[in-house]
Amino acid sequence: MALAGLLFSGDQTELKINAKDLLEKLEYHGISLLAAEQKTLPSELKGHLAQLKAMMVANDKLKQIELASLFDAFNDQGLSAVLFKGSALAYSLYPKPWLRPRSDSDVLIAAKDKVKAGAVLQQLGYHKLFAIQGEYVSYQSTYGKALAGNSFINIDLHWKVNNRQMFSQTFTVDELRDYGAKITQLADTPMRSFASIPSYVDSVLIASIHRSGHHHTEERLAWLYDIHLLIGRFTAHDWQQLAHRAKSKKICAITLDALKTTQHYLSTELDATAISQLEASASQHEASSIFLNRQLSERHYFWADLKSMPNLKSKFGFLRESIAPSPKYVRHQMNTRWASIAYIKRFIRGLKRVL
Amino acid sequence: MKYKLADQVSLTEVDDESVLLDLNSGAYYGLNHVGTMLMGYLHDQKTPEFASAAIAEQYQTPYITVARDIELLVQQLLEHKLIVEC
Repeated sequence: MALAGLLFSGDQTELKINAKDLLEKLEYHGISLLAAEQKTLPSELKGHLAQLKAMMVANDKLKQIELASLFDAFNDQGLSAVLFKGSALAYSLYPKPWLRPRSDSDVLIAAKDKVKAGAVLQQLGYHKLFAIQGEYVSYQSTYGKALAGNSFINIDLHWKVNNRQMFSQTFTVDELRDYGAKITQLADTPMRSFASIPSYVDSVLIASIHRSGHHHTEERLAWLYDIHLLIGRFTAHDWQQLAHRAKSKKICAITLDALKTTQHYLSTELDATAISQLEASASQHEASSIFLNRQLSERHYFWADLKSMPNLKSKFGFLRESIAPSPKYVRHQMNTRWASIAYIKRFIRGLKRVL
Repeated sequence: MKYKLADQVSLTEVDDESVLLDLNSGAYYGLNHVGTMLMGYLHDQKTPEFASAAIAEQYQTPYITVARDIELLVQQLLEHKLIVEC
């Protein structure tokens, strides 16, 4: 299937007329170089895409070396860490890692290892980027490091697999590691040790969660293409596992939606038995299916998140941290030196968002 | 004269093209098919003259034309410290 053709309805001549629009759309969807590989794009984009490819290849090489060092350092410290989402897929699934664009590399650790992992990153020259912090309001920190030239790498260090409360407990680092695989090189960059990555099945579930929970108002072909490639590697056993694990994690509806959307756009072949099982389970009410309704306002998702939290202490903690984060954070966020003004501005902005 | 890739330089082949990356500076250079063929010959301990003859034969192009382009490319690679003499 021609990826570029999916971005415009109607006749293919439009691709020739609107090369600039096409490029913008390709970049938004994260499939510029994938589409270029298919050699179906207008010739006027050739020069730009050749430059983009050289840049992505070079950037990826620098990131490979950096990530290899990071995982070697984690392993040296006895830290159990899993590389997941885009970077894991780029190095295990895509024929060329730079075909899978990503702005950061996601690493999952156990919550108990947060300080130790942060220390390893800082020893390697990373700086923690400013972001909201709290016990419940965020389960990740971002660490950045300048590489050679103008390159930069961001590591999203997660201690829960997703920031949505409803999905935050879906996987633990031990579970992803035990069901997953180890890679000993990142493309052609060898590692002294290894990086753990999730199994194909868990990667599909994570992609479904990410698509629905974190980006429920947008659809990018790059994420669907991930699922398309993952499913292409599935065995019959993997399909059984997918239905079983989605059911046990109560994410059948969002998984089914991700699979069917992928099939719709990319003609992906699905396993009829597994789909029937997912459909049967999805017909029972799953709280997570609220994220399939993309028309709701943020307060509905917030409320669903709050309800999913296990006890009163965590619910109150989440509410408190969401409504009134630290003065330092809110001053930075609202770009004012006065905390009281910052809180008022934040309150008004929050009201607009939830009403 | 024979040349090799400088220590701080990585070469990534992408289909029939390649990207040279200076790992210290982050500067990168895209090489077309002919440039990539040249790097292959240099890697195999062949001289630029040998590479020029082989490429000229493959493309049915006069040796002198290819040799001039290859010499220019080798000069540029040397100037940017991407290759060094063996």
